[in-house]
Amino acid sequence: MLCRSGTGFGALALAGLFSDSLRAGAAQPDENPLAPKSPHFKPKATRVIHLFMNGGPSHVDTFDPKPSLGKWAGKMLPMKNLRTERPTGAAYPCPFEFKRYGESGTPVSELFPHVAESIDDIAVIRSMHADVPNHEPSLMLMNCGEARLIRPSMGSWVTYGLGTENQNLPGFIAMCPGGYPIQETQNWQSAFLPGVLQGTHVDTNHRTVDKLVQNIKNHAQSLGEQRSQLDLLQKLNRRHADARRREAHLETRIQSFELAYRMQLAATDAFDISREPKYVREMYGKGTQARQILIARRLIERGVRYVQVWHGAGQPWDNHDDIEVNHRRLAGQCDQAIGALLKDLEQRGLLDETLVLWGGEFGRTPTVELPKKGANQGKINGRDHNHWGFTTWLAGGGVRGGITHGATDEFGFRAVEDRVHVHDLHATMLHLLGFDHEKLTYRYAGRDFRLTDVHGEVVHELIA
Amino acid sequence: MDPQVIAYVVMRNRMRPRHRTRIALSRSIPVRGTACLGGLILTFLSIHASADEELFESKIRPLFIESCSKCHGAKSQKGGVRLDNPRKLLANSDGEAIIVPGKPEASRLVAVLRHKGEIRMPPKRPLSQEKIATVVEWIRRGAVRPAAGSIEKKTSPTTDPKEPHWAFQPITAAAPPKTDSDWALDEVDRFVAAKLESAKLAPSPATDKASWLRRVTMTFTGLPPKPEDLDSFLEDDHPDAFEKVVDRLLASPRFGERWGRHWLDVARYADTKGYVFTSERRFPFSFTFRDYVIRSFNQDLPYDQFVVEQLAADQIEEPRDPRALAAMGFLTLGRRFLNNPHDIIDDRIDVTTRGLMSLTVQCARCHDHKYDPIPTKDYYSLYGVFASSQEPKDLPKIGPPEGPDLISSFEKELAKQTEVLEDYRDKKHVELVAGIRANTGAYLAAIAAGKAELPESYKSIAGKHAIVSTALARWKQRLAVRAKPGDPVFGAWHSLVTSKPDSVETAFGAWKKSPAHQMTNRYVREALVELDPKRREDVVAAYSNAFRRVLEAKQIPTGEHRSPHEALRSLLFAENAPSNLPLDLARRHFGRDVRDHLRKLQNRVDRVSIEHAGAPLRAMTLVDRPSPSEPYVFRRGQAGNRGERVPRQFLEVLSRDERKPFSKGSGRLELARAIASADNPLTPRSIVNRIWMHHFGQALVRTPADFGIRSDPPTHPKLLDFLASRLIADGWSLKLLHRRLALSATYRQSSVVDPAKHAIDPDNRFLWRTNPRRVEFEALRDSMLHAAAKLDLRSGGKSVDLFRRPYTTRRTVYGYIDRQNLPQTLRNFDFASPDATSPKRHETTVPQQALWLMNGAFAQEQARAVVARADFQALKAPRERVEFLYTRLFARPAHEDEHRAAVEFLRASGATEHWERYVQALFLTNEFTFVD
Repeated sequence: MLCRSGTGFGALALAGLFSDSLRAGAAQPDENPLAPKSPHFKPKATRVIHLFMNGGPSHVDTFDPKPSLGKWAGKMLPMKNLRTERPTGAAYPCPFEFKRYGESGTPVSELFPHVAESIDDIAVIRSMHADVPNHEPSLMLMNCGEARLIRPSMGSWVTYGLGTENQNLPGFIAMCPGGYPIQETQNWQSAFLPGVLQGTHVDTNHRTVDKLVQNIKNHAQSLGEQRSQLDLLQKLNRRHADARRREAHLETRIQSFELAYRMQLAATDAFDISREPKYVREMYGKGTQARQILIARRLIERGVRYVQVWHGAGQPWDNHDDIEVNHRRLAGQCDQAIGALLKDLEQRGLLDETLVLWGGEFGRTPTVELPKKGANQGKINGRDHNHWGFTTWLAGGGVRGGITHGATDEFGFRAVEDRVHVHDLHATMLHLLGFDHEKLTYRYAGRDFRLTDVHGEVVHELIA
Repeated sequence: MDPQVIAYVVMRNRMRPRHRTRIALSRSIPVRGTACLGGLILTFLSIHASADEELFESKIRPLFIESCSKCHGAKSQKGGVRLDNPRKLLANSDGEAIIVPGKPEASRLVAVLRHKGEIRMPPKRPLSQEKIATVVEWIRRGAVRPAAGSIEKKTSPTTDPKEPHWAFQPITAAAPPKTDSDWALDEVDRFVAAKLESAKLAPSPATDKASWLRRVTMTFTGLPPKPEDLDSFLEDDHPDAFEKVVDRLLASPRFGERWGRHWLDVARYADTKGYVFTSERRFPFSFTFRDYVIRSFNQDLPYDQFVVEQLAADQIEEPRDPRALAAMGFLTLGRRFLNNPHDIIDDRIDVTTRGLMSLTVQCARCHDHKYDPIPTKDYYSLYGVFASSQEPKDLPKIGPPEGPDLISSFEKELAKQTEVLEDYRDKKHVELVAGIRANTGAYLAAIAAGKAELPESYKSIAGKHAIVSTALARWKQRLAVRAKPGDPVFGAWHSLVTSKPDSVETAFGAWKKSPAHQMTNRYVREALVELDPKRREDVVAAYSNAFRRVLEAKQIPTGEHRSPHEALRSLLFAENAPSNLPLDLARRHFGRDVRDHLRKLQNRVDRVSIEHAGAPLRAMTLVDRPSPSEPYVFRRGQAGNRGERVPRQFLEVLSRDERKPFSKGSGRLELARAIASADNPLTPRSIVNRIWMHHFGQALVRTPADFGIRSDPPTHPKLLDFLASRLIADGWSLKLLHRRLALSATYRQSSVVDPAKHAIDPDNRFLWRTNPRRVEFEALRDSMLHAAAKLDLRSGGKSVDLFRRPYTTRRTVYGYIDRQNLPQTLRNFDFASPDATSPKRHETTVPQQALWLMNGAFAQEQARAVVARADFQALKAPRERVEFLYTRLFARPAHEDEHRAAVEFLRASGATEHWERYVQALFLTNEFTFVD
C-alpha cells in the first residue's frame, strides 16, 4: 500500500495550518487525495502526456517500415493471415514514403515529418502487442490494464500515487474534442479509487473556459463580490471551527474554498492559449489538435500530473477504408503540433521530466481488409485492427531517445522480437514515474489491486 | 460491435487466462493420461539414467533457472507453470502437460520455446537454437530429472477449526456487562461503557437538545429539522421526548428515502447497463427496485425477508405484495459487460456475497481465495445457481403505469414497433432460407468434397453461395440418416459418394443394373442418367439439378411426376428440412447490416417501454431456467478450461452440518434462505454493522463489505453480536435496531473533542464521543431545496435528470444514475460508484466540490428561492431574517458576532442580491455540511 502520510507541499498547504490535528477524529475524511506524494524511488518523470490516436494508427504506415509488403503487393503473404476482427486478404503495401531522421537514423514515414525532427528524443517500441483485435477491450487494456472488468485508469493510478502539484487545477485531465471516445468515460475512470482521481473530461471543441471546465466561472458575481462572499464564509467557518478544535476535515474544507477560488483564475489561464506568444501558436499550427496539444503543454507546465489528449470523439484512426487519404488527413492534423510539443517541452526544460506516450489501442494489419456486406462494401483500400503487433513511442521523462525497440515480423503482422505487452508498457511507465508497479496497490474488496494486475515487466532497454 | 464480434471478444476473453495472458497452455493435450504416462516412463527410466540426470543437472536446470525461473519459479508461477522444481516440471498447476517425456514434438514447451504459435517463451527473444536443441534432446531422452526436489507445503487455505476467525463463529448473545456508571441508558451503552472503562476513558457529556435533534433528523431523513419540530422538542420536558422524536422520524416517508439510498449503495444501483455498444443502454424498470427498497424500509419489512426477496422473490409461494418482485433488481441491475454472461454472473455473486454477508467470494473465481476459506469450487457452486437463472423475456407487470390514461396509446405504439421489427426479421429469415434452398447443390458439394472450402472442380456446381455452417451441419445429419442403400432419394448417393467407390463410373454402371435403380426417385434417376457421372462432382451436379427441377417447377406436377416431386420438395420445404433453419438458428447468420438494423429496431421497441408514460410498471426479475445446469469449475477463471463438476450448494465455511446440494430448480431460493438464516453468523452482523456505520460515522468492523481474515476485527465484538442476536430476536426488525441505537446515550454524546481522551484514542475506537459527520451529496442538495421550500416530496417513479435545467426539485434519491458516464458532480462528491457494491463512500474534500456550491447554478437558484420565500420576505429586520435562516439551516439561534457579520456583509443595503449571496454563503459553510 502506498504510504499515505503525505509530506509534500500540498499536504502542508492543506493540513499544515493546524498542529497535530491531522489524524484527529474517527470520522476523519480521506486526506485530500490530490496532495502531492513521493513515489517509491526517485522518479525520472513527474508528469505524463498521453497522445491517444484512438481507433488504432497503422504502424507499417508510420513508424515500422516493411519493404517486403511492396514485394508481395496484391499477393497473399507467405504466412497465414493472423485472425483479426474481420477477414483480410493480400499484402497491402504502405502508400507512404519512409525517410531516416536524426543521428539515430530512425525511419519515419512522410506522415510525421515534424515528429521525426525530434526522433532522437524518441524510443519507438515496434513490438507492442495486446490481447484482442477489438476496440473496446483494447482501449480498456491500454488505459486501465484490464479488458473487461472495472479497474482504475493509469491516469487515476498515477494521480493516486503522486497526487498533483497544482491544487488549483484538476490532477488528471482527459481532453477529447467533440465528445467521448468509444467506451466513453471508462477510459479515464477512477473505479474504486476516490472519484476526484477520475480524469476530468474536457471537450476541446469548445473554446471558452466555462464550457471546458464545469462550474469554473461564476455568472452571478464578479470576482470582487465573490471574494467578499468568501471572506464572510471564512469568518463564519472560523468561528465554527474554533469551537471544534482538532477537526482536521473542517480545516481542509475551509481551504478547499480558497483553492476553488484560485482554480477559477488558474484554469482560465491554463486553457487560454491566446496568452501564448504568436510564434508559439504558429509553431503548433492551426486547428483543434494544435489547440489542445498546446493546452496540454500549458497544463503540464502548471503542474497537472496526467494529461490525456484524444484525437477525437469515436475512433478517428480506425481506417478500415481509404487508409491513405484518412491517415494522411489525421496525421496532418496532429503531426505539426506533436512535433512542436516535443521541441517546446525541450526548450523549456520540461521534456526531461515529462513522459510523452504516443499511440493507439492497437495497430493495423499489413494485409488489406476484405469488403464485407454492410461494413465497407466495395472498398478494398484499408486495414483491419491488429493487436498482434503494433507501435507506440515514448519520449522525454527518462526515456532513452533515438532507439527502436523490438520488432514485428517481416510484414509487420506480429511482434516477434523483444515483445512488449501493454502491461509491460504500463510497468515501464510507472517505473519512470518512480513506482514499483507491483507495489502501487489499493486494497479493495479483500484484494490489493494494481494497474498491472499480476502481469508486467519493466523494459529496461527503454530507460536512459 | 456486432453480436458476432462481441461473441468473438467473449470467446477470446474466455480463452485468455485471467492471470498472465501469454503463458496459457494448450488444452488440446489430454491432460491426465499424458501426465501419468509421463510419470510412468520417467520412473522406469530414471533407475538407469544417471547420464540423463547429468544432462538435466548440467544443462537443463541451469537453463531453466537462468531463463525461466523469474516468472516460473518459486515466487511467481505465471500460467501455473513452474520450472525451477524438478517435481513440477511436467505439467502446469491445472495438470495440463507441458512436457511429454520422450516426445519433444508433442511437448508444449518445445513449441513455446521455438516461438511457434501464440505463446512464445521467453517472451522477448527466443533461446538460442543450441539451447532449444538441448531441451529437445533432453525431452527425447525421457525428460529425466532427479526425483528429489523441494517439497512444498500446501498453501491452499481451507477451513481450519484450530484457528477460528471471529466472523465465522456463531453469534453469541452475551448479556450486557455490568457497569458502575449511571450514564448507560440501554444495553448498547453498557457494552460501550465497559469498553471505555477498560481504557480508563469516560464518555462525553450529552450534546444539547437542539444539536441532538439536528443530528437525529439528519441521520434518519437526510434533512434538517423543521422549526416547529425544534420548538416542540425543546419545550417537551417529558422523559419520553426523545423517543417521540425517534418514532416520528421512523414513521416519516423520508426515512425510507434516506436509508433506501444507503442500501442502493450496497446494491450498486444504476439506471443504465454500462457500455453495451449500440444496444439500448437504459434499464426499463430499474426505478421499481429503488422504490421497492424505499418502501421496504418504510414498512420495516423484516430484514431476512428483504434478503430473500432480493434473491428469489419469484419463488416465494405466497407473495405478500406483487410489487415485491421488483426486489430482484438487486441481482439484475448490475453492469452488463457487453453481455458477457460470466462477468454478469460474477457481478451477481459479488453483490450477493459482499453485499449481504460481507464476504469476498469473487476472489475465488480464478483460484482458491488467498486468505479466506473460500475454495474455487464454492464460487462455481454459486455460479451454477445464477447460471441456472435467466431474465424472462416478458418482465412481470407489477402495477399500473404512471399515466394510467395512456395505456392504450402505449400498447398501440408497442405493437406498432414490434410489428416493424418482426416484419423485417421475418423477411430476412425468409430470404436467408430461400438462399440456402436455392443453393442446395453447394451443400451437397461441400459434403461430397469433405470440406467447406471447395476445390475448383466443385465451384461451378456450388456457385458463389456462401455456405451457412448450420445448414451444412443439418444437411450432413440428414445424409447420415438418409444416404443408405434402399433410400429412394439418397440410396444412389450412398452407392456413388458415401461408400467412396474406386471408380464412380463403374459404380454407376453397377447401380444402373441393380434393382435399386428402379426404386430410385424418378427425378434423381433421370438427372443421374442424363449426366452419366464419371466423377463425384457429376453426382453432385445431378442431385443439384434434380432439386433445381423441383424449385423451378411453376406448379405442382400431376401424375407420375407428383410423387418424386413431393419427395424432393419435402426435403427442401418440410419444417425440419435441412435448409429450413428456424429463426433462432437463422438469425445467427444474418449479415452485419441486417443485425445492425435489427438492433436499431429492437432499440425502438425497448424505448417504448422506457419512455412511454403509459407503460405498466414491471419488475426486473429472474426466473429459473427450465433445466438447471450443474456447473463446472473454470480453471483459472477461463470458461473454456473446464475442471471438475460441482453441485449447486451453499458455501462450505457457512454450512454447519452436512452440506446438501440445492435441489429446487436453480437453488436460488435455498441460497437466499441460507443467507438469510438466523444460523448464518455473517448476514445479521453485516447489516448491523452497516446500520451502525450510518448512525455513528464509523462501522464497528471498519470494512463493511469484508469480514474476512485480513479485515480488522470489530472494535466492539460483543456489542456487534448482541445487536445481531437482538435483531434476530426482534423478528429482523430494522426499525427496532435503529431505535435502539438512536436512543442510546452513546449516540447522544457530544462531538466535542476532549484533548486528554483524544491523546489516548485519537480514532475514537472506544466511542468516547460522537463522530461529527459530513453529509452526503444527497442530503446537501436536498437540504438546500428544503431551505428554499421547494423540495418536491412525491415518492417513487421514473428517475429524473438531476443536472439538467430547469432543475428538478425531487429528492436526490430519485435522480437518474448513468453508471457509464456518472455525472462529474456526483463523482466529485464521492457518490457511491455504481460499478460494484459500495462498502462505504470515500470522503474527500476537493475544490471541485466548492466550485459546484460557489458557481453552480443549482446552489445559486436555491439561495434565490430562499430569499423569495414569502415568509422570508415578510420579515423586514435583518436580525429577524438572520434568525429565520439560522433556525432552518442550523437548528439554532445566531450568535451576536454572526449577526454582526451578516450586517457587515449586507452593508445595511438589504438589496435582494446581497441577501441571496448571504444565503449562498450559509450554504457553503462547514456547519451546513457537517453535523455535530
